[in-house]
Amino acid sequence: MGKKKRSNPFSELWKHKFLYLLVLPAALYTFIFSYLTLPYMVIAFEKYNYKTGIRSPFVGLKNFEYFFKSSWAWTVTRNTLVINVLFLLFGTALAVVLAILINEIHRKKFLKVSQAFMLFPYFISWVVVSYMLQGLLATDGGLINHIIESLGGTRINFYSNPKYWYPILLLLNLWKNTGYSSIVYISAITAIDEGMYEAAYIDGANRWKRIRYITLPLLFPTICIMVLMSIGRIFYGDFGMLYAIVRDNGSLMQITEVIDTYVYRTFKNTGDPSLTMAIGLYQSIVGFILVFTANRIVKKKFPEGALF
Amino acid sequence: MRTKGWKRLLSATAATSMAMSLAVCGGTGTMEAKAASGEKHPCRIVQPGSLPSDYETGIAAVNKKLEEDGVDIEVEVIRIPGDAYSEKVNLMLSTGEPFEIMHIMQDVRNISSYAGVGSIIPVTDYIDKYPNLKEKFTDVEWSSTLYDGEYYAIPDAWRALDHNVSFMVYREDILKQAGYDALPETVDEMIDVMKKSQDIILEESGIKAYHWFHANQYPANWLHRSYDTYPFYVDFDLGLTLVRQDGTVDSFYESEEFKKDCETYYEMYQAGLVNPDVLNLDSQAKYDDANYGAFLPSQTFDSNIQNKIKENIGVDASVKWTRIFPEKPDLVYTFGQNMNAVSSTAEDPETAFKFFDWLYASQENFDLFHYGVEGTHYTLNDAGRMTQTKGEDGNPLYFMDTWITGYLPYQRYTEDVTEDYIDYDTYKSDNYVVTPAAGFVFDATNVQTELTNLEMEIITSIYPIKMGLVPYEENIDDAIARLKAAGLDTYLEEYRSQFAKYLEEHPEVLG
Amino acid sequence: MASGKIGGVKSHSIGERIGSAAIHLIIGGYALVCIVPFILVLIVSFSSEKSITLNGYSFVPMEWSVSAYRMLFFNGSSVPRAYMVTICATLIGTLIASLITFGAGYTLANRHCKYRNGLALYFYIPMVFSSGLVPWYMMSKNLGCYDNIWALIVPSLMFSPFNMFLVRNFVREIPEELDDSARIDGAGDIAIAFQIYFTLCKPVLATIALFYAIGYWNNYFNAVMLVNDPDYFNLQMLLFKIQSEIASLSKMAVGTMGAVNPPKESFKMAMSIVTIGPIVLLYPYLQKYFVKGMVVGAVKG
Repeated sequence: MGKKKRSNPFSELWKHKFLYLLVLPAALYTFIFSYLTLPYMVIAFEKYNYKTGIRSPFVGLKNFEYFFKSSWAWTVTRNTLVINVLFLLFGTALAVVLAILINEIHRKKFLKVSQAFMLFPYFISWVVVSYMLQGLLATDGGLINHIIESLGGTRINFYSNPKYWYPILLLLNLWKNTGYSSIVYISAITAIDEGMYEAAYIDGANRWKRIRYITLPLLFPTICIMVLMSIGRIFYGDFGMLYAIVRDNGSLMQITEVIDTYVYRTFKNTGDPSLTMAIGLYQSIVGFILVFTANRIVKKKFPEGALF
Repeated sequence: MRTKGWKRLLSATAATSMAMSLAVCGGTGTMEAKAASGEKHPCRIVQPGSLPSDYETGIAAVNKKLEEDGVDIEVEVIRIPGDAYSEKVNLMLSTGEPFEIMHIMQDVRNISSYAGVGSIIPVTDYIDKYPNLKEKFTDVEWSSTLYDGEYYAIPDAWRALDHNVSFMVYREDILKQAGYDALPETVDEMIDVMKKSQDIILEESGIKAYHWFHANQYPANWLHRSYDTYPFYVDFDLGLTLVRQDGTVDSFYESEEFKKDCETYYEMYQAGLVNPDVLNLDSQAKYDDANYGAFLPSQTFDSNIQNKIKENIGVDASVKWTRIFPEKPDLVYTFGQNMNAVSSTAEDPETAFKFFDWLYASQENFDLFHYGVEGTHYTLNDAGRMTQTKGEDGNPLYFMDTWITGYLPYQRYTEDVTEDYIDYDTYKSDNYVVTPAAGFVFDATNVQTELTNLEMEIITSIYPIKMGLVPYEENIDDAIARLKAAGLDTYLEEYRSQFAKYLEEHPEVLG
Repeated sequence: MASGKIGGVKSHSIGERIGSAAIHLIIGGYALVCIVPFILVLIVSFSSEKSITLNGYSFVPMEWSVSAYRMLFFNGSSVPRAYMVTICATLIGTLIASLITFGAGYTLANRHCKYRNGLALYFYIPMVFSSGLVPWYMMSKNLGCYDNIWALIVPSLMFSPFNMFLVRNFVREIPEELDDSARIDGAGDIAIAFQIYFTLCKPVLATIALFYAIGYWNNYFNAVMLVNDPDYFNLQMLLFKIQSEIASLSKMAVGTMGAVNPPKESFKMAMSIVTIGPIVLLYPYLQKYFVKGMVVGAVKG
């Protein structure tokens, strides 16, 4: 390329053209599907009308007003955060623990079968889960109440009582997703050099010491980026799960209604896509600010765990 | 990083991407080419569900008849799976994908949320051009499609609504076993009937039967009929407004009537007549139970389930419907729940009118479109009842749902439908009053925020009281306070002012 | 997966043995908790709708029935074709996706890539910002991914930044000396990337292949939105459609159209069973790629 004194991006690209060629397909795909489509977000600032489409009249921040004026804005935001943080903390912890324990097992057959079994819940749809849950928790005829009554107790009305539901939702989420999320950690552990374990054993370290001083620290970068990636979506609730399990149950809505179910209701009532886009934009922006900040902090302290 | 090079690169990229995406996402983009066949206008009808297996034959016959009748349209039915229906329709509208007719169900989403955002277009200009079609529906039926002074759809009168406030479905055989000859005329006796029925049914099939609303949002119409202040109308959507015959609009949840409702339901709940999980259940479950004969007198079910009960538990149930508190008049509250509107992406809106004009012109046309070719897809017996030919998957070879494009006078019934049910379906009241709110459609554009919040607040705070799960006295003040915080007074004010205007323009409704 | 021996000697101490037993118990218990509900789903899918309504879900149904499966496998059913379509899309898609992702992850992990952090940010942003259904649909259509097999392969599924970050992190763990020594030995860019690093990355490649395969297999959304030609319906889309039909059948009030008791609940269960088979068998097969120890050897060699 031209012998410019100062290097410019093009010469940098050419110098390592092989590398950039490798990343090109993915970059192009992302550009086409994710960046070229971003301008559509402008409808969040318009009073959308299907006849004028994207060229509808501009109304500034009015659509955002809709959400923030709502008496439920704070409640749904808080619920989304609480539920997601719970899921993130416990989900990650359990997935890591599971991966570590699996790593300690050597019986091939036992391992293969258990690992396959742990993946099954992921494939059962939330709708089916909700039916089975009803079979368990129904006030009249549910399995748990049946047991309680046969032991002489009074039955519990689960579906009318919010206090049970954060634990229930958490357990459901753990049951369904942990098998799947642990796969990442399992494969990360296999990258750890066997020799280190050997050396530690020779030095007299027992199983738990080996886990604590070798496995965990080396897993840390993976845990870090997994958590960081989740933080970006901390304002997006799990619509599929909540819609199937809680539906329109008013007794539980105070704690289970999240931003996404609120958006769904909004669209049903108003038919206005610009309102839902505005709320979506709000979710994205907040999530992004959070992840950017978190990433900065991580970068300073543990550079290998940073996302970008 | 050299900024100059980057800046140029970034701005070039941004410009290109904006240009490309605006081209891609333009509102009314280039439409697909018109139908190539001669001068026929395409008439694409979008409906929820799935196509029957012999759709091609059926629709070909329809188009052939259309041609013979000199109507220059070509009909195509596009079916979208129910669970993805609203998303896909929204997609088609947003991307300018052309289609002509779409269906609206007012009790799911009312017309203002379609018309207000331009999904459908006004059709006022076409109505007078098709006098035959116009006279198929009454003035008030047409008025249910009004929004902001314009007509927006063609009514779909597929079943009677006159008795929606006054009917009740019950099992006569159980009633007799409980010691009654007919449905009682006091609320206390009604509750007694329900309790006894529950025990009898439990013995019969082992299922515990409950009393149900058709949907949790419905008011307890049967109780309202027993009050001295009847007739009055509580809207079926959110139940916020109570309209009296003199035109006053009260706040239903703050009224005496609601208080009485709640106290009765609390009593019923304590007696085990209301399912404790009623707030969470899938609405389908109760219909499944009803097919096994396990239901209490309610304003919920269809009386046409005798055969299903017989097949499932082998019992000869006698399912009947009746008007409760029969001397009181029926309340006619609306004239349109279902309707067919013209999409904003239609090529030629008049096509919709041409189609419906043809469809309702004769029994023959109606049969052809909905039931198919006689002989191939169905046969008629002497009494005009239908037997449909089934395909390999157990479903009729060809059938277009009559609840979407139906017309009651032409409705056909299959052989196994009871006379009783047909009476129910075609009921025309001879003793009725019309609520002043019947022809009035509320435009919620100014109170959108309040609307969604109120809905959520009602579901959260009001339903438990309404269904009797918690006592009225201890909980109502808190619930009302929350409703007010969600914008109850603003909503009511808007409603009252729009309604007052409506009454000014239509003083005859208070007659 | 650690091999049974550490330093060539099987661990025999009591502490290790108790610990080992406890671990087996925990994992076994967890696997049981996962599989038991699934067995219930299997049994309910073979229960008659009648016994479900009368008795609820039970491990020993009152009445067995294959009507749910009959809805799927009757003569002339489109399920076999849908299976083919899904398998085809999954194989092609997973292959392309894995290659693209490996390329991106490899580059982002390479210290010679000056803009790797910028690129990482570039790839991450779409995970948080999305403009929704409408532009996605338009873009897919304009690219020709409509009513053909590409509609099932390209949109949404062919690349996931999440998987790319996994690859990147994995590659970052590999010591840089490997790259240097390979160059000294005279290997070119392509050989290093695809012969050396590719084989070292077997664990993470197996992981992302599994994730992509599951993604393709489970996806019904692309088919619902982008495919009208029944020849290109994939399995999930077909199941979704049938389940929707059954739900509306049950709501039929006027007359009795179709079966008296359409297998509503049992069909939903059958859906899960039919879906799960092949993909879960894939996981144990891929496990053999979760092997260790190659890195050390490679560097020393």
